[in-house]
Amino acid sequence: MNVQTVWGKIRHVLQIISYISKGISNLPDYQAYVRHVQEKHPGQIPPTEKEFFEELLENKYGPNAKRCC
Amino acid sequence: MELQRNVPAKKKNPFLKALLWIAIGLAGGLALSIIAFQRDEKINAIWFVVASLCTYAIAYRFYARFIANKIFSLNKNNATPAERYNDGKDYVPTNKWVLYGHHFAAIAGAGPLVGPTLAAQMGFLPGTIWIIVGAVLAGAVQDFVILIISMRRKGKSIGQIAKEEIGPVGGILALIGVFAIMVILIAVLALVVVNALKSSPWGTYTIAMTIPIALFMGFYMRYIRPGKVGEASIIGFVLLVFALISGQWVADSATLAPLFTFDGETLAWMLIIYGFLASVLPVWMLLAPRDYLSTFLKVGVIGMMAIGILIVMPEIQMPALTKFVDGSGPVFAGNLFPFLFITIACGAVSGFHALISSGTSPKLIANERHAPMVGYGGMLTESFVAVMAMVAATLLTPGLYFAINSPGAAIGADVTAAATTISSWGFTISADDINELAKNVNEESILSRTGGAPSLAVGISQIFSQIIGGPKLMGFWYHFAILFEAVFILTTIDAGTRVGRFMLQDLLGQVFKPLRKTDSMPAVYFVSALVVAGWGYFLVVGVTDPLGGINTLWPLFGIVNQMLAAIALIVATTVILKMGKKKYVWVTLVPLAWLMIVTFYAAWQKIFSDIPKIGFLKQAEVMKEAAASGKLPPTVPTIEAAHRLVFNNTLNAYLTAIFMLIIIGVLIDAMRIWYKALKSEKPLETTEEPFIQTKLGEV
Repeated sequence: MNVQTVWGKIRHVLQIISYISKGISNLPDYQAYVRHVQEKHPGQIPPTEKEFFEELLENKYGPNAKRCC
Repeated sequence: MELQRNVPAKKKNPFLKALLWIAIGLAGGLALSIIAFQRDEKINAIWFVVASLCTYAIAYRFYARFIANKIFSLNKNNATPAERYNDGKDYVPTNKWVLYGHHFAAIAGAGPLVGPTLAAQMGFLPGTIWIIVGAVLAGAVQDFVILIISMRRKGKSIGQIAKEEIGPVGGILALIGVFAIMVILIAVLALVVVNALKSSPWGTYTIAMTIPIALFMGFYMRYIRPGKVGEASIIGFVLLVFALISGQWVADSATLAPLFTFDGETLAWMLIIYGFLASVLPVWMLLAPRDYLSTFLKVGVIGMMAIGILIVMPEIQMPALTKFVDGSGPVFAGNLFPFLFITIACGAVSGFHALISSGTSPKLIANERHAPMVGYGGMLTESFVAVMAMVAATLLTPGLYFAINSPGAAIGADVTAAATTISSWGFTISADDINELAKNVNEESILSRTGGAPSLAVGISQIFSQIIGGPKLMGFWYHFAILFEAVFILTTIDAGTRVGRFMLQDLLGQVFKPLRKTDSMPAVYFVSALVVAGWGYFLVVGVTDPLGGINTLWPLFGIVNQMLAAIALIVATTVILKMGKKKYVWVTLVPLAWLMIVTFYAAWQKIFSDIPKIGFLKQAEVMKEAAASGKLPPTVPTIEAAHRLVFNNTLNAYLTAIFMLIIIGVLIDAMRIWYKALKSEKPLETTEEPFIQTKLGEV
């Protein structure tokens, strides 16, 4: 195995960890959203990561947020 | 990134499968009978784990599948909202296991940890049985059914569903119920934190440090590396561990320790100010970073607890039943029936979960067949957390358990008096034992630290220190456990105040329009202050209550939470009847009937009981007489305190009565629909969305 494949594997594992932890905290993935916009709404310019993140917070803790004991 | 898996179809041997389920059934039955009947020697905690896991497995495999197939005909080909409305953000098809993790993290909080700890005063048996049976037949059913109902309706909230399936009256009553429970929930959880941090410089310093840590993470995620939640969480976690370690230096320092030593009332006011600020500040500053930190901490510590119990295999010290089943116990007042079933709300059945099951989870679910895992399985996991909390409470020697969890009014303010009183109940303990434990966990005193958090922390520190560090690290693990509970309780306080504000803006906005604007500063400040004043009032009352605030507030919270569960089950029953599934309506009707009996019986007793410890009105009357005659009981210092008790108890009695009326209102409104549905030959029209063939593969 060369260095590149090892690095690729590590990156893959990190991606999985990031996917799981983002999912558990209900954080949508920025890259996935960009892909979604490019596929489904071709004319639109996707937001920057910062804009995306700000809007996400508004959704998550805005008037429709839910919480538990 | 989408995770895809291709598992080759295995050939299943039906005979082996049947054998496996028989074995699981036998193991569970054996473990349950050991827990229930073994009296002569101490029971190992491992039997609690076996009994609960086997019961969950069987319920999940057979009962959840029964509900999925017979009532709702869950169909893997029917597209879910995540596919129908996929917007890449709110509606996203999510991996089943990840969604299960999210759902669990969202429903589990301090509730399943505190309730079982308090209930342990009656012995381990009644609480454990209720946690397991209640979850399987009521709690998990509620979460699961509401998840399905919401999933088939674009992920609508329980309030909206109530409005559409029952009527506007039921809808508004449900909304008021949700708001009321929010206020009482925040107050009681804040009281748990106050009792855990009282005169504890280590704890107070560590929790105070979480504020600058969260602020730093907030700035990091907004300005330094926008959106990099993972990096910020790792940095935050490292800083948190440092805060925990340096907490000991603070506690040991003669100059620093007094700066972080406060009495209950001061801490309560600090929390009230904090709650107000946190709810009006932008979320990225404090709330969001704290939320990430607490989610990871929560899942991590709960996992560690499970592993810890499996490695250490502690013995249970508490008897199966104590003499306090008659309702004379010091931790909470009232008989086993109904008050045990009120005390353990979260962990067995919790109405609050209906908000999550009709919140984010139904919008993320990728396939209808994932619903049992997420809805039913998520609640089973919370029930298991409650079983672990029960283990942590009952592995303490009963004497220590009562020393930590009894209010000063019951055991006296000094160690010698407490040891004598507790020993006279038949739980032998010496003053030295109590002092030694306090010294081991680096606290000034562990006497009357009610609320469940300190008791749980002692239990956790006993388990963890047996694996890492021995007695020397008990103080560290104790404060680690306190930190873990306090962090996610504070998250609930921030976020709950915020959610409460939105609800109240919505409700008040119907009377006075300008209050509805969520971007108008005066409206936001005013309504936030109202919400904080609401829970702050109960918190201060709880802290200053000479009879011990947990005693009063926790049952009130339990009653409201179970009543919310009743509302959710009324909605579920209505939908099942409208679908024409009369034959299976017992699935929700039986738990509903049980909850109605328990909550109404408990609420009735809380209002009208002749025993002052239980009945609000009687307590008010006793205090009124005491104030008039000037003969105050030793626990009530002044006439003003007695007058305050009169007012508070009367208020609590009215509140409880209002909750009862709300439930009766929703039930009557729903029964109108039930009657229509039962008379009708055909299923009634519901708001369920029509079938659409899914185009998703395996997610």
